[in-house]
Amino acid sequence: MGKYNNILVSLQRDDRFGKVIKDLAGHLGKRPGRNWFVAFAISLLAFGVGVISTIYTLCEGIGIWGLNNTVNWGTSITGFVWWIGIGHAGTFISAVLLLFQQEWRSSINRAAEAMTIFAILCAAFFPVIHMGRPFIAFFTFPYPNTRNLWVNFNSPLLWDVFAISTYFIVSSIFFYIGLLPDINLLKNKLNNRVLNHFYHKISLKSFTSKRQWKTYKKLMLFLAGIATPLVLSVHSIVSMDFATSLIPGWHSTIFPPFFVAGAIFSGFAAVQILVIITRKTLEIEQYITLSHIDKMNKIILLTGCIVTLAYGIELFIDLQSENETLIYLISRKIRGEHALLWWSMIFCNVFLPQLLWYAKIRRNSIITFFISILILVGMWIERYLIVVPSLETSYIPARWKDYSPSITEIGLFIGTIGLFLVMYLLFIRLFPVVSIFENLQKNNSNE
Amino acid sequence: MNNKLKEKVTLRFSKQEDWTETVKLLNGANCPIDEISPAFPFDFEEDTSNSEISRLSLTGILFGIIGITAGLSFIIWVSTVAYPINFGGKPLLAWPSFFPVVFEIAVLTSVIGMFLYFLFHDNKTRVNDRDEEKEIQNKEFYLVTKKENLQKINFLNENCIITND
Repeated sequence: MGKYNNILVSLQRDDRFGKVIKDLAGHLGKRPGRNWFVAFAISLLAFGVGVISTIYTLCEGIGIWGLNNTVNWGTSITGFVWWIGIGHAGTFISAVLLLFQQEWRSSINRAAEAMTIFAILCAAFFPVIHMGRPFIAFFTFPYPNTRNLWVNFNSPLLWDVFAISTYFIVSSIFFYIGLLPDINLLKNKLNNRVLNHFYHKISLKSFTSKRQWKTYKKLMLFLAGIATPLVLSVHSIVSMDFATSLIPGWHSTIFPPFFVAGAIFSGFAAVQILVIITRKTLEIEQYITLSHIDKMNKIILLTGCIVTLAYGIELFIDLQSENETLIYLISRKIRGEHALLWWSMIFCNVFLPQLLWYAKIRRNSIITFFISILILVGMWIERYLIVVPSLETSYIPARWKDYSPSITEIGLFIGTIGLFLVMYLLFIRLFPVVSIFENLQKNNSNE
Repeated sequence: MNNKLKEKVTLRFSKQEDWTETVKLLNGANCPIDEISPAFPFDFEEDTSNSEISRLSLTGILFGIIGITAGLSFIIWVSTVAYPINFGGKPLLAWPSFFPVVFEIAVLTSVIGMFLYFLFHDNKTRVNDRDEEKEIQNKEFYLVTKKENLQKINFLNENCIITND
C-alpha cells in the first residue's frame, strides 16, 4: 500500500489520473504530522495573544493604545492596509492570470485565493476594533434607522466599507466556484466519513454533464473579468483614505497606483512564503515547481521596480513643492527620528528585490523565502511611514506630537498573523491546496 | 427491434484512455453522442452534441444594470432628499463621489446574479441518490448514445459498464 493509502481509489487507479488525485489529496482526512501540530500550536498561541489584546482593548477602551489627538491612526490602520495589500495577490493570480491564459497559475491559485479570503478577514478586524465602540460598527452600513441618519457617501471611509465587503464576497464566490469541481471529484473518495459528509454538504452542484462544464468555464472567465477591475479599484479606494485628505505627505495623486503596485508586490511575497512551505511539507514539488517560483519572482521584481519608481516620484514631488512642512517631513524620514525605519524600508523594498534579476536566485526557494519575508517587513514599514510621520508633523506645529505603538497594538497585530496562519493550516488539511481538476486538464491537453 | 436499438445507453469508463478511444470511434462513424462527461473541463472538440445557449452573460449584465440603477438611485435619494448635508459648499449631487460605491454595488450584484444562475440553472442532471452518484464518480468518464451506434462501431470494452438510460 502506498503512502496515501487512505484514498479510496477504485478501479485501476494506478493511471495518471489516479496519481494526480493521490498526490494532491492524499493528505486529506489523514492525521497531520508533527510539524503541522507544532505550526498550529505556535499560530494558536499568536492568535491567543491577539484575543487577549482584543479583550483588554474592549474592556478598557482604545485610550490604552499609543494614539493621541494628533496621531489618531497608528499601527491598526497600518495593519489594515498591509493585510488588504496581501490579499490582492490572490485575486491577481486567479483573475488576471486567467484572463492572460497563464496555465502555470493552476498550481498556485487555490492557495492564493484562500490567502486572499483569510487576509481580508484579518484586515477587516482593524477598522472595527479601532472604532472605540465596535459594537456599533453596523452604523457604517446604510439602513433606515430611528436616528434619521444616513452614511456619508462622499467619504472614502465609506467607500472602503463597500469596497472591502464587495471584495470579500466576490473573492469567496470565486474561491468556492474554483473549489467546486475538486469537491465533486473527492466527495466519495476520502476515507474519512466526516470529511466526505462535509464535502457532500458544501457541494451545491454536481458536474455530470458537458453543458455544466461549459457553463462553468464561461462563469470562471466572467468572474475573472469582473474581479480584475476589483484588484485595481479596492486598493485605490483604500489609498484614497489618505489621498483625499489634506495631511502633508498624504495628499498625493500618486497614491492609488502606488498602493496597487505595492499590494501586488507584498501579496506575491506572501504567496511565495506560503507556497514554498506548502510544497515542501506536502511533497508536491512536481506540481508547484521552481518554474512557478521563478515566474512569481519576476512579478515581484516588476512590482518592486514600480514601487521604487513611486518612492522616487513621491520624493521629487515633495521636494519640488518647496513646501516647508513636506520638506521637513522628508528630512524626518531620511535622517531624523524615522531614519532607521526608512532606510530599512529602502533596503527591503528597493535593494533586495534587485537580486531577483539573477535567474539562479529566482529559482532558489530558500533565498526566495527569506527575500519574501523581508519584503513583507519592508511593506509594513512603508505603510507605517505613510500613516504615522505625516500625522505627527502636520501643518500646525502646535499640534505636533510623537507616537509609539503600545504593547496592546503590537499584540493585536500578532494576533492577526496568528489568525491567518490558523486558518491557512486548517485549510490545507480540509481542502486540496493545488487545483486537481486543472492539473488533470493540463495533463490531458499535454497528451 | 428497431425501437430497442434507438434506446439510449450510458457507457461508464474508469479509464480516460478507453473513454477517449470510444469517443473517437463514434465520431469517426458519424454517430452522435448525446451526453459526455469527464471529471474535468475536457476540450469538447471531439463532441458532436448540440448545446443550449447559455444565458450566463445576459444574467450578469442584467444584474449589473440592476445594481447600478438601484445603487445610484439610492445614493442620490440619500444625498438630496433623506439626508442632505452641506459639506463646505460641495454640491449635494457630487457625482464623482458616487462612482466608487456604485461600481462596487454593480460588481457585487453582477457576480451574485451569475453565481445564482450557475447554481440553479441546468441542475436537472444533479444526482440526488448518493449511491448512484458514487457509482458515477467511481466511473469518472461516461457518455450517452444510442444502442445502434455501439453496433456500428462493434463496441467491445471489458472495462466499461453499459446501462440503459
